[in-house]
Amino acid sequence: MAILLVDAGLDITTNRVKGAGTEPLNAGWGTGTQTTALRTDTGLGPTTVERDVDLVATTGSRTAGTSTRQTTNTTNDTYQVVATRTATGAGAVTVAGLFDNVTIGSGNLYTKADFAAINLASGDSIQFTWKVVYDN
Amino acid sequence: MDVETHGQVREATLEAVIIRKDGTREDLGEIARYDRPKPTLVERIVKWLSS
Repeated sequence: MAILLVDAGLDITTNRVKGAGTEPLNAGWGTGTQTTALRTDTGLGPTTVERDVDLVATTGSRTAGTSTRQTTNTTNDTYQVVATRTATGAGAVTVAGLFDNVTIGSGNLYTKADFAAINLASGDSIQFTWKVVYDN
Repeated sequence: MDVETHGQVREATLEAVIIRKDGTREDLGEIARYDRPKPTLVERIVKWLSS
């Protein structure tokens, strides 16, 4: 299963280097069948599959995570975000991403990942840990 | 699923832990990964010839 920094993520990165923009630490998730992730993707899934915590609504909020810099190969080469999102309904999560806005439907996608379905019941949570390594 | 090849970052990963309502934790480990593709032999030769 794949994860990638999308083109909009590059835009966010260079903007942040200039001291502008908003940090992409807001975690969203989605359901449904996924297709090949493309660098040109601007949202989760092949269509609009991003869901709120009830795993049904297509509006609502993402979860603000905690970001740090980590060392993978070279000192501080890794941008890491840890975010725990709790379901208020049952469903299967198949995609997740980080955005620079907490509101679903707003902001820009930084990174997205699709993966084997994670089945959740109401009250279950997923603790996601994203690591993006900016090494040579 | 496959990912379109490009070399924006060296690597990226997503790890996940399920925390059930009763507090039980299920560590799924790495659920998605990207590694920047290494140049093929032909690409390395072309680069070497053009340098």
